[in-house]
Amino acid sequence: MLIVLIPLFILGGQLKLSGQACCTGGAPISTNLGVQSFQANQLVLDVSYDYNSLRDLYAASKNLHDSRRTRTIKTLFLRGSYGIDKNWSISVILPYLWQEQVIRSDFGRINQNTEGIGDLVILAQRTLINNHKNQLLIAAGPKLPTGSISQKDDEFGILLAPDLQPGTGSWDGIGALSYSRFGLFTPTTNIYGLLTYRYSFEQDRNDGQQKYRFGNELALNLGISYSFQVKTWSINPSLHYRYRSSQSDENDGFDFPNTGGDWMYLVPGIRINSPKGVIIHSSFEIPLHTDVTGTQLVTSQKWNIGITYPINLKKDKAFRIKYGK
Amino acid sequence: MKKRFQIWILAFLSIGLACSSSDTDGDLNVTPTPLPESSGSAQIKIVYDNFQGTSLMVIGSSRLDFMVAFDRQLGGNEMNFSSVQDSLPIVMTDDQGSQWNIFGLAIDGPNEGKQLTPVNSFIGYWFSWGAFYPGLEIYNSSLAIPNQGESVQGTDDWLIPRDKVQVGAPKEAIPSIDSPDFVRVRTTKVGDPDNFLDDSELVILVNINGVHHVYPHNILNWHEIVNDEIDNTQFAVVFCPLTGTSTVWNRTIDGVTSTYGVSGFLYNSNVVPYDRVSGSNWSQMLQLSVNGALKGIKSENIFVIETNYATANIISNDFQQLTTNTGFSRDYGRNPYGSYPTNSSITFSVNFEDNRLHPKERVLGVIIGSKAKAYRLSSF
Repeated sequence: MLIVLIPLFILGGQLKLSGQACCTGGAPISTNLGVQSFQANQLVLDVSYDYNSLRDLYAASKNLHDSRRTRTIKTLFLRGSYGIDKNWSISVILPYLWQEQVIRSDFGRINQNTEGIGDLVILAQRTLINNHKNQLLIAAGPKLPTGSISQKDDEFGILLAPDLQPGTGSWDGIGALSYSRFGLFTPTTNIYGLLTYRYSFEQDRNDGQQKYRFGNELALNLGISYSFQVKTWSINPSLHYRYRSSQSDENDGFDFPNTGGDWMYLVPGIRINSPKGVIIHSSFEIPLHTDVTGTQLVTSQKWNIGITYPINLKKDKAFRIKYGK
Repeated sequence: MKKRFQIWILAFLSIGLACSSSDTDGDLNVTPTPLPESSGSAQIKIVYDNFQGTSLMVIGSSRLDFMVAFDRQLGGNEMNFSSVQDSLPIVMTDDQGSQWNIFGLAIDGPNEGKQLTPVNSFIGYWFSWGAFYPGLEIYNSSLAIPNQGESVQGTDDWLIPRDKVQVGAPKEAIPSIDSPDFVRVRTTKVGDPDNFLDDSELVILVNINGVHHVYPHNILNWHEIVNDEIDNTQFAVVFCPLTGTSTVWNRTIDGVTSTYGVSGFLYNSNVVPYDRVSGSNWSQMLQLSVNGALKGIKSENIFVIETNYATANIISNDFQQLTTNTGFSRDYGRNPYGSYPTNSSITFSVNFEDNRLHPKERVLGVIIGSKAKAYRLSSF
């Protein structure tokens, strides 16, 4: 199995694929897909909060050490996943974003803020292999243009830049492939890989006067996790490497300057599983390497915290019938 | 099971590979002519022309990489000139025996001290001239004019259509240089090693009362505006990397001296500076305040030469060159726009497109009234 997957990941890493650069128009979906297996008839609700602080201005791979310009993107993700049967599940992800861009100059502080519902993602997921040693999942689905792309500058009423809008305005396609190998070194040590890809379509802006297309994006996560028990709680620390590659955006068919690039991060994380199935999870991104097209603000600090609550609908239904509730 | 798995893998891969083919190099549009080679004649030529009732002359050299335009009228007389070679900054003599320099000043003979009136003109990428002045005439060209364009009306308190104004960057995100630092360069290529430029690198040369300031494009690419002063003349050098246009404006308007900053807006892919006293937005290529308290006020333009560094060193053997000591950390050895100056991409939409020339061919646009005419380096 690994013989098949490793070349796949390497190939994926070499593809100059797409994505959003310094800042995404819309939510950072590709790193928050949450591809995992779900039990049949189980509804899993997840609420997570993502904080992304962009304070480093880069020209290619050089940090310009310019602190005049910063951006903060806060995203609340609501995710509902339902296991249709032991092989198929469906997930719906709805983000809500708050973005703030600040320019500090000798002539004052300039703020630009936007907020709103981002683009909704629907993912159908198929479990291809699931045994005590290996798990292989594949997921695909559309990203719907539910987020606003028409937010304007407060002072002049000019349409704000695409990357500051809560949505991308386009129907996009998202695909993911997830592989986990259980009990590799110890019975509770797992390794995993997740490859995600987003293909973006063109959107009309400015009442059709402008055609904008976010670059396609590829993200690869390779990591290791370990599990241990503390009384009845299960603790899962993890560490993974994330590679993200993004094509330049296109404006009216031409590459848009200062978009696209390659990023690498180290991501320590933890999942705390309660005896009742509730999971608290958190991760933190540490930038390892940045190589952007042109000059871009890049992530200096990013963290995520969330809670997952599973509901076994079949069990609850049986419970209601039996006790008449 | 194994076979089904392989099918899934193949399907996933094929999606990825198909998607990766969407890469573009920005050369989607077929253009009728390639970008001209930078070589050409080192001869200085003079072109006489009549445009919009004005008898003018354009003096230029393709290899020396400059074009400047002056009104031929001097004291009510139409002057006749002959070009002078290998004597920059002297470029011509008149039929009365005076020699004239590239700044339009007679330096000897009976007309010594007299100054020709510059015609409002500056160099920029061809596409930008076509966008602002649709259907403009090209000097000595038989190429069919594709369209005459339509008049563009302002909206919503703007003298230009507000919905055509785009955001290229946040306001002040591209920092202007407000305390420029200069190094004195007295002889050819002897200067601060940190500021050494290749001969072919483009610079802007400003001459006020015989004091010469040189502004390299490689610095202006990152800042777009330099608020400067020579002999109590406060002026702003405004450079747009997207349209390749350089203008120099007096910063004192109606007795009030301001500085200009980069608003982050673009109109026809061209920089929209704003003045920091009134907050008004200006169009560089329209040379006009298009929004705000000063709406309708025209810029007071100062004569500017755009040329390469080698020629600038010949024109002036004693100039002040802007240094990279700008107060900002930038990678001045790299163009933040990559291959944009030579490829055919137009990043932001424009009102009118004109494919008679390569979009990035640098032409001198002469503006008289509401009309413009383009002069190509290859004409010299």
